[in-house]
Amino acid sequence: MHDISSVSALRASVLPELSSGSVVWVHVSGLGVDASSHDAIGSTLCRCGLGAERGVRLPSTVILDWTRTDVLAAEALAYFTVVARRMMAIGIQTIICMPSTKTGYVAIEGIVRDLVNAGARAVQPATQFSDTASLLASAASFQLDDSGQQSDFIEVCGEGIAKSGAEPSVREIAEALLREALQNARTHSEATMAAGAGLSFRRRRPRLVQVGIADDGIGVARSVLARGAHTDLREFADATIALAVVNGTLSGRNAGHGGGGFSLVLREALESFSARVTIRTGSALLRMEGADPTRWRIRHLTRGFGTQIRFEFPVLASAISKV
Amino acid sequence: MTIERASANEYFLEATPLRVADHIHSRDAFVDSEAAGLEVALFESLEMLPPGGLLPIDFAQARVSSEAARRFLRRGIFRLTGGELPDRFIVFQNAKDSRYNLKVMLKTEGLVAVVRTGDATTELIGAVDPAVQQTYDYLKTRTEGTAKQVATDLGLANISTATNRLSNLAASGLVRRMGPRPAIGGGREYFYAAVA
Repeated sequence: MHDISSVSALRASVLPELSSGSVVWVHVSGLGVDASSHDAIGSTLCRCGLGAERGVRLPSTVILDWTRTDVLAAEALAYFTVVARRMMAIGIQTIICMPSTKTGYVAIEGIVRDLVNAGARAVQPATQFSDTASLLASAASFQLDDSGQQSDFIEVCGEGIAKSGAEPSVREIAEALLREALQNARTHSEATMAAGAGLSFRRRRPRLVQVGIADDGIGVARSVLARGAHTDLREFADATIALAVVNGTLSGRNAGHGGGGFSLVLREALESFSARVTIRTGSALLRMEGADPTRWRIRHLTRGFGTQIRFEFPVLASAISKV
Repeated sequence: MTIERASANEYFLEATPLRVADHIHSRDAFVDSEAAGLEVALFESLEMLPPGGLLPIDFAQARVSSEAARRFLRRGIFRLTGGELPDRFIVFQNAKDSRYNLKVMLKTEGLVAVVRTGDATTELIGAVDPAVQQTYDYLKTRTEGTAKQVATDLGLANISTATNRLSNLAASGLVRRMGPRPAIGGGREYFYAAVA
């Protein structure tokens, strides 16, 4: 039995199993799409059965360690929720080292309580300190066939954005984006669950609101390849296929529309609100910002499980370029 | 369905609004299947409209994704604009929360619709052509207008251009075409009133 009285005690008690590979220690700071270790964490999660090919020998225990995470990201909180639930669903004992930052702690407290009730274990941090982010919406998970749960999340995010001082139109377009993204997840991703979270960064200039969602689905590229008409694209990388989809090239609609509902609302958010968006789907990482709403920056990762999307909106009116 | 004489424009008979919230299970309709009941309710309401009938679609307490909007509105709008249910009209109200989703759906389908905004006016959303926008904006400020008035007041080259613009608006279900009636100075003329 592992000692969960403190993080150091836990580390000491799992040392032999760490070397044998039956326990995997994951520093979740890499769950954010900006993190330098984001690519590496994709491979680590593969070892834990998320996104892996068949035949991988799964560890008996995974430790999801928040203690070294001092920069929070909304999509990381959402992805953590999906990852932890999925690990438990495939029978891996999950131990969560709670965040040392107050906002991080509060953000995942509710989810961790649910996970503990389902058999996970939690390690409390030795100390807690303040951070620069404040919470718009705690991490929440929802079944994708339950519209009510998703509605509640959109509502909470919207209220949080309104309280942050953002213009009402920012709330409207953020909610519209969430609706389109969740609709895509439900229609195309084959995901069983999704999660979301929202943060506000009051000390950044410009002040930002950040909303992140994640799902445990097959990702954009595999969803496209599953359609008979596009199987000849299988030689292309995830990022190339995802780029074609968000640009509307594969949407199946007439040329000139610029994509489906998500792409079109996204374009409006980028052009009119100086928003920024980052999408990590499978091993594709795509970014675009309002300063240049015509060019996606793409990065090819090694591995990737599910999909994460982060929207960021500047709050101050002076930071909004074209309203 | 109750038909009331509309206060916005005397040429329309305004029906009791179709409340979107009454036909979806949660506050949001995300996917196609969640809007199926709404589409049926819309068809029933449209079929009961008399000529000149205006059906407000009320989005209060409800929000829709573009996919759900496509499911419940697309065929209804085609029935109105394709001639199956001529001289019937729809207008969206309390659609602030779904504005972007409705806009992209209409844009993708090449459709335009009238939305009542919070300040007691209306605007067009969707695939709005500048000429359509200009002509609609002109007509919505008055009870009615004719091709001759449109040509004169908008500075168009001739009456044919104004007639084409008004015909496009009427075909898109954005204005009601009435007449012909005797024109001042002889002849006959059609006159048009904007959906509002």
